[in-house]
Order: sequence, then structure tokens, then C-alpha cells
Amino acid sequence: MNPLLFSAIALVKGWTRLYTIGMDPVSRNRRRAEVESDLWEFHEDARRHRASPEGIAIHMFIRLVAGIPCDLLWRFEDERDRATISRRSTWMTAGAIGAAFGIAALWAFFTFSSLATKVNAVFERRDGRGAQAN
Amino acid sequence: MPLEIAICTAAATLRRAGGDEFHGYEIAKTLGDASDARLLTAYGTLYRALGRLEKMGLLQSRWEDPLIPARENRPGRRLYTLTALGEAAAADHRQAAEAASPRRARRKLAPA
Repeated sequence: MNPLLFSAIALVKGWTRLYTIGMDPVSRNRRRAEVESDLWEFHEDARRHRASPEGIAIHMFIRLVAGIPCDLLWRFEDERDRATISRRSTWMTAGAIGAAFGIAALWAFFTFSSLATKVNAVFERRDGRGAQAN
Repeated sequence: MPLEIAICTAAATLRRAGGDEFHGYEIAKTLGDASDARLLTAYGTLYRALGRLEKMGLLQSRWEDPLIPARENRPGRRLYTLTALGEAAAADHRQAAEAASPRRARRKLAPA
């Protein structure tokens, strides 16, 4: 499997595991299984349509990052409905929010570093042409 | 709740096409096709909305028979069905949209 796609799948599964830690087992197992099924269906469908592994990985990553606020809200609502908000779950939620910021920062770093590489390549090509002309 | 309404409408469309049950990815794809969106609904947004709809009684869900995914070598699907209440909500929304669209068209055609 393409390393980028492998990383995206691992990241989505890892994040789902993280924000469901310490939850009621029924809600936790259901959410984990649903996301795992979605990942599989999406991957298979995209593969059938001959989508590039990089494209699938980026799409999965965007779906992950865009859904993080709802993931955290869902956890909070589930615990509120079950009246199980405890000190431990508050710490878990805080940890999950921290991890969400970490993922967003990583995404921003990789996006901007790849953009910077592209911009540098354009300038280097232009400088090379300039040097040849001289 | 525009996403929840969109899910009910998409589920009603799937039902009319003969699909009584649908899974999360299937509804995300149907929603994406209906709105011509390049990106599918985010995981967190989609599954939170499906859970809310189930709590509101507009959807019902169950795990598929574990023998099927085992035979097809894939993870099991959570299958959702639109309830009568969900069908009514989708129909109400459709009627409201149809009633609003000629009015909007007339407003566009009216002389300035």
C-alpha cells in the first residue's frame, strides 16, 4: 500500500481510537466500527474509480480534520446524555482537543512545507534560466 | 439542521431507487453526488448527524449479519433505514422546497 494512504488510514483510525477512549463501550465500539467500515468502502470505491492513492489519502485527511469539532462535540453530548462526565473524562476530552490541535498543526506544517518546496522549485527554475541567459 | 434534512432527503431518494437500507459511506456519497461536492462529508460530521437522526426517531439502524462481511472479507456495515417519521420529514422538506422555488422564480421574473 502507498505510504501516504497507509498513514492517512492509520491517522483516521488512531484519532477515532483516541477520542473514544474511556467512553461507554457501546458508543465507542460502534463509532470505531463505523469509521473503519467507511474507510474500507471509501478506499475500495476510489480504487474502482482509479483514483490515485495520494488523492484518496488527502481526501481522507480532509474528512478527518473537518470532522474533529463534531467528534469532540459528539463525545461531550454522549457523556452528557449518559451523565457520566467525570474528572477523568474531562481530562480525556482536554487531551483529545490537544491532539486535535496537534493533527491540525501537522497538517498545516506538511501543507505549507510542500507549498514552500513548490515555490522554491519555481524560483530555482527561474534562476537557472536567468543564469543560462547570462 | 441542514445536513440532517439532506440525509433524510437522500435516504428517501435511495428508497425510491429501491435501496431500503444504506450505510454511512453510501449516504455520504449520495449527498456528495446530489450537491456536486468534490469532498465527502467529514467523518465526525456525518456520524454525529446520523446518531442525532436516530435519537430523533427519523432513522433506525442495525448491524448487518456478521456472516456477510466475513464472506466478503470486509468490515461490517451499520445499516440505516428511514422511518415513517423520517419519510414524512423528507416529504415536508420537498414540498416546502417546491413551494418556495416557483415563488423565487416569480420574484426573479418580476420587473424591477
